[in-house]
Amino acid sequence: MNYRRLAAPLGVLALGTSLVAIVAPGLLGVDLDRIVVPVVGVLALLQALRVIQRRRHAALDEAGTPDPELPFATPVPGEDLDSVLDGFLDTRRTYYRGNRVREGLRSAAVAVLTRYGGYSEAEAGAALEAGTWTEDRVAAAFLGSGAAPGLPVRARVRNWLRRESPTRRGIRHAVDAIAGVAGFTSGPDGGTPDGIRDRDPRREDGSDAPSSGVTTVETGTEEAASGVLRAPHPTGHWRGASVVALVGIGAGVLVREPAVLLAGVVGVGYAAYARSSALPPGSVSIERSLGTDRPDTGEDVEVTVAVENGSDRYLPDLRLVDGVPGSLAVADGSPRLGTALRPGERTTFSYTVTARRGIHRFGPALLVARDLPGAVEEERLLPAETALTCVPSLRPVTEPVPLREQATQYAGRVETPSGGEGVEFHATREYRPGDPLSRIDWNRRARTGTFTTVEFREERAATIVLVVDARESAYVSPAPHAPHAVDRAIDAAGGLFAALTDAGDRVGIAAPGPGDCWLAPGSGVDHRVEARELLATHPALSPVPGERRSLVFRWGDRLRKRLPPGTQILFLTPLCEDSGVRFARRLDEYGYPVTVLSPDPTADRTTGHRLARVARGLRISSLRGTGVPVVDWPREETVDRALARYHERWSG
Amino acid sequence: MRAVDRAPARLSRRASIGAGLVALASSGLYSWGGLAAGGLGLLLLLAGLVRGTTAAVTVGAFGLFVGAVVAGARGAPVLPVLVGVTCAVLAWDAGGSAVSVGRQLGREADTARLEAVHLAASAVVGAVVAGVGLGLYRVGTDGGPVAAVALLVIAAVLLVAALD
Repeated sequence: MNYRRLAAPLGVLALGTSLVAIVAPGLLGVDLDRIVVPVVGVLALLQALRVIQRRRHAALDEAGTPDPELPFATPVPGEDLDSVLDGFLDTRRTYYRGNRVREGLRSAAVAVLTRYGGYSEAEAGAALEAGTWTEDRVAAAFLGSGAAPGLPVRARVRNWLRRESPTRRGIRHAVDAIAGVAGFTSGPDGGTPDGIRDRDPRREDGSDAPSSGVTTVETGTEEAASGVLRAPHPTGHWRGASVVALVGIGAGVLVREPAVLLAGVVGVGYAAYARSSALPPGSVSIERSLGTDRPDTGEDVEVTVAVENGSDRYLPDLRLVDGVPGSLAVADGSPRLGTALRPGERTTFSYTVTARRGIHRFGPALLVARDLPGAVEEERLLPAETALTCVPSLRPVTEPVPLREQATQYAGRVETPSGGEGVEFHATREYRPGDPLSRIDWNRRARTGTFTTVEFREERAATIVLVVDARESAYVSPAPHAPHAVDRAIDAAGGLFAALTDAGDRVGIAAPGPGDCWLAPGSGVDHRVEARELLATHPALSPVPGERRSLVFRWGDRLRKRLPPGTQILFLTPLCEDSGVRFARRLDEYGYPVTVLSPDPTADRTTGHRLARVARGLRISSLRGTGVPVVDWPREETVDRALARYHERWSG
Repeated sequence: MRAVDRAPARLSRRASIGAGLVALASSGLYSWGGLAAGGLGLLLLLAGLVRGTTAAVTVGAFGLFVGAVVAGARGAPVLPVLVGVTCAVLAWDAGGSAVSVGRQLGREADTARLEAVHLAASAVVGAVVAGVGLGLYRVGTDGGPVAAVALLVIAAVLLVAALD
């Protein structure tokens, strides 16, 4: 900057002149006051204006901090209306952008009308055209052709006065009408129409934070390895302090008041202070310790972080945010600290997290360090390796597990249609030599003199493989921080596993994903311990989705090769995608009887949510239609309750 | 699941309000214009501290500063004007730091030591600078012209800029 180079000689010149004027006022020969004063005053005020302008147009450059308190936010099915509509559209056809929504809703309407309304496909299409399929005139007009009855003038005016665009209103009404046909009633609020947008839920971690440059702590990058996330840079906290000096001097000399002029001195002092201290090159280290290493689910674990200043400089401004795992929520306290540390000083802070199933690795802590005036800032990552492992115990479900009628040769609890050894009476038949004496009906022998043999329903052991849908698409929940479908499925799988092995069945576990999640069917104590460990810690069943996209069909083929013949499949899936349905159906067709237990992750806050709920309902009934039993497991219900309801409904 | 409370930090906020009140009290008594500008500034400062916006804090503190300058221009004594200006700057600094600590660390976190150190340092700087100003006034007005003092101040400004 040229200004800078000019400033030093000018400053020296001004200093000299002022000293001369003070020591010997007459020496300069000119009346300094009359020439210098107005020029200096006006120049100073002008410069002050410039500085004010600069401050107005420059934002503060401060580090944003992530929100490690909140756990990973799982998306709600139907967040994006477009992708729900895609499920109804023919993938081989291309649609115009503007027509896509309407076409998607029309196919959805046809699907629900044929499924629930008793229409044939042609009838449903005709009803849509004519607008006779629903009472809702807005929905009828939106999906119908010109033949559908239009809106009365009063309704049109009312709509125009509202802020909602006609298209959005049409979409909202159409989805509500479709949901009505499918038997889902919407909430009393009527829901909000959502935008058609594409959001990445993983980037929403800091959504509650102010928008000013939120940095998410990312591990494994090159910069993270060196520790420095962002080199020292000015924050802009003191930008504009020179205005005090300039206004003081300008106004002071113009009004000729020493008091005002001296106000300028204060400005000079603070401006000098703001520039005085550089950021000390501190070396800070942290150490993290946990209250318990292997807590139970739901237990609060205290995390204590010790922060130490390893340098020989005073560190006046340290702001620390600990790297709480994305899968854990902070229950009490704050994982943040703001402090100052003398050389070699050490301080601690602590907070508690609520333990959840799985291995939770703590990330590095984010350190924002400033100098004493707060004018310069630096961001660093402080590494500290800690992991919290939570292996929940397996509590068997109390309700009988719904299984299909087919079984292995081992004695067990699946009731078969064939007679033999057992408890429940099945039939009587003529005595054949070799029948056990205990099964001869001696009463009848006494009464009639003929030998008959009683047959009981045979109960045999089943071989069951619990397949947990842990693909990325299954990490969905009715609200961003509610338990997601994978967690619920794994929880239920543990209960089912325990109940089935208790009853003598041979049970295995499988899940698509990294690390080849497969536990061959078996029984016994060791097997149970193995299953418990696998459900809690296997990378394919991690509490937050990893970076992966597995091909389910390829995986399905691999699974099929492993399954012993006649194995029953208990498939735990939220059924938010058609591929889950196809997977269940294919296994069923290949002769592995499939039962689906489906945790319901849908919500009904927006039109997208509601349409996703309708789509899931259609998937369930189409699976049931092909003979695959589906246990629908609503939110906020225990798996026992869901099973009990299922038995009540389908056994009667 | 509660979100992080990112409102301005408590200690700095209190310090900022206190400094704002002192600034208004010391210079507002000498002129109506000063009182009006300072009062408006204090209101804005409070609004900024409640809502956590640095811009409002800055404009509010600037109002307090203008109030002190106006009072000085109307003939207020040197000491109240110096105190008023220093407190206006302190209110600005403390307010800005309250907002930034609140934003980065939230209210749940323990930030007392960080804030105390920052506030103490700024207050000491203010006291020293105001003292120097007062001393300069005693020396400078012993017959010396205003222009000489002005040139002295300008010299300091330019040298600070050059040293940067």
